[in-house]
Amino acid sequence: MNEATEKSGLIRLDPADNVAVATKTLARGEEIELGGHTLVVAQDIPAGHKIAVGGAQVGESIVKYGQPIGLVTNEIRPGDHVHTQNLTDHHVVSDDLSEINPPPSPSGFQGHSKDFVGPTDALVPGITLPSCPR
Amino acid sequence: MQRWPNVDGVFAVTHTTGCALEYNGLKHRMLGRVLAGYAKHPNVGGCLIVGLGCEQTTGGYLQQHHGVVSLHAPDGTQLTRDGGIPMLTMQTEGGTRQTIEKADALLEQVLDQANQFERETVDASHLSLAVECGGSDGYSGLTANPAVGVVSDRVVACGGLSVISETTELYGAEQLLVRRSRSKEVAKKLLDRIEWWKEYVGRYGGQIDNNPSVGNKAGGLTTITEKSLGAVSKSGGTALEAVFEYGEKMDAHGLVVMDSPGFDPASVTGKVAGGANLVMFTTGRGSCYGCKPTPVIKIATNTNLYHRMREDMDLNAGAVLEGRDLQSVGDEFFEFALRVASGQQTCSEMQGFGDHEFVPWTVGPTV
Repeated sequence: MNEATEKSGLIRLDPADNVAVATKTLARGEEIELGGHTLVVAQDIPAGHKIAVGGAQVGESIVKYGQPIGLVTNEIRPGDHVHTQNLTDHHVVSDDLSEINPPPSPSGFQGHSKDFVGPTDALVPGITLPSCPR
Repeated sequence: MQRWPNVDGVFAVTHTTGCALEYNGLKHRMLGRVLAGYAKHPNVGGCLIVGLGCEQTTGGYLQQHHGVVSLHAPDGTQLTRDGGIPMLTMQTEGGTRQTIEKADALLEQVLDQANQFERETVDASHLSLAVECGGSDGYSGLTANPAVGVVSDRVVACGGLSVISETTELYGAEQLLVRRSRSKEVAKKLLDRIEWWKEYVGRYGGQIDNNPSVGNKAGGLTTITEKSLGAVSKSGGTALEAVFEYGEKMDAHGLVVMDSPGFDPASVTGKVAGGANLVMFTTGRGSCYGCKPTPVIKIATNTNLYHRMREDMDLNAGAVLEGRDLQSVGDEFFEFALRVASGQQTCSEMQGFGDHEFVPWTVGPTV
């Protein structure tokens, strides 16, 4: 799913994403290979911040993790820093419950439960403790 | 404490409210749930309640409305004069000094009792894991949170409980949990809490999507939707089994949501009150959080942070960006969690943190 390694300085999380995340500070003018194309960094991008992979017009969605994360407020060109200066939130809570599809309960971890060394069960309120060996 | 080798320590649960509130109203019930949850917590071997006497939240209130009951000394004698709650009332005892003297004597008995608990091997279905993120950055949703999601899936597979909260930081990604809900009732309960938060924030002229903090934005997170999509990955991929109110006892197995603010001390306090016995806390900016009575495992989202704040970070999820497979990093984190549950101390435990992180979230007017 990830198209880039740490060496190139970019991670694109999902093929549908129109932004990638900088894994190190990217300098304006740097050229980075991404999916067979060359992306030219348009401004300095701090590590952890987003860079536009494609262009986007005002009112279009920015997609990350394969999901819309907000709407464009100022025109974005490939290589632009995508952040508060050109992106705003636009989420609508849906009350549609028709697509509920819970996965089945997992059947067990490698066939058995893992053990750990824990304290005995918590004191049950109201019960006198059994006498302790001295 | 050498006299009580099975006891890890003593901590004082203090708070800043308890009176000037409507009796058994929302604010009162929330506080009562949290106080009772801490008093009855599996990691708490014994407790002593001290109150003034004329306030709304007396020991009597906790007994009557929140199931706090009595303790007995190892020889069977009741610890309290009236046989009810192990509680001291300052106005009855005769003031501050008298209360302190009486408390000193009672505490030794409580410690003797708590010292009777010893460790034994149990299976991981006893784990009640609270997952939390604080000081998030652009890496949180790439590395540490998905790795914690792997741990959550493992704990659920073992029959344990995994609880995610910070409702204001699920807003934007709630549809991912709705789709995985065990039933429409569970899904609706989550959506009801989201609606409550929108209305609550709006009441004060705020907007729920104005969430990312100064630090979040400096770290690369722009919108609440983006932040929440990264945050929700802490919940792994299993079905959402239940939604709990803040501080409510979590009688369940599998993945659950507990309603809480995104404010970390309040969020963790609520999950601990509900029974969480282990916390995994991811951070990108560098949280220094620790908790008593529940150990906190701190996970750095990036290698730079892990090394820069080495004494506060237990695990480094930055390895995911350096070519390591997410599943194997998550498995490693799960094994670490088992060792912590077995007694290995985390960084925050070694530094003795947790005495000042009891922050019960309450909603309602102080009158």
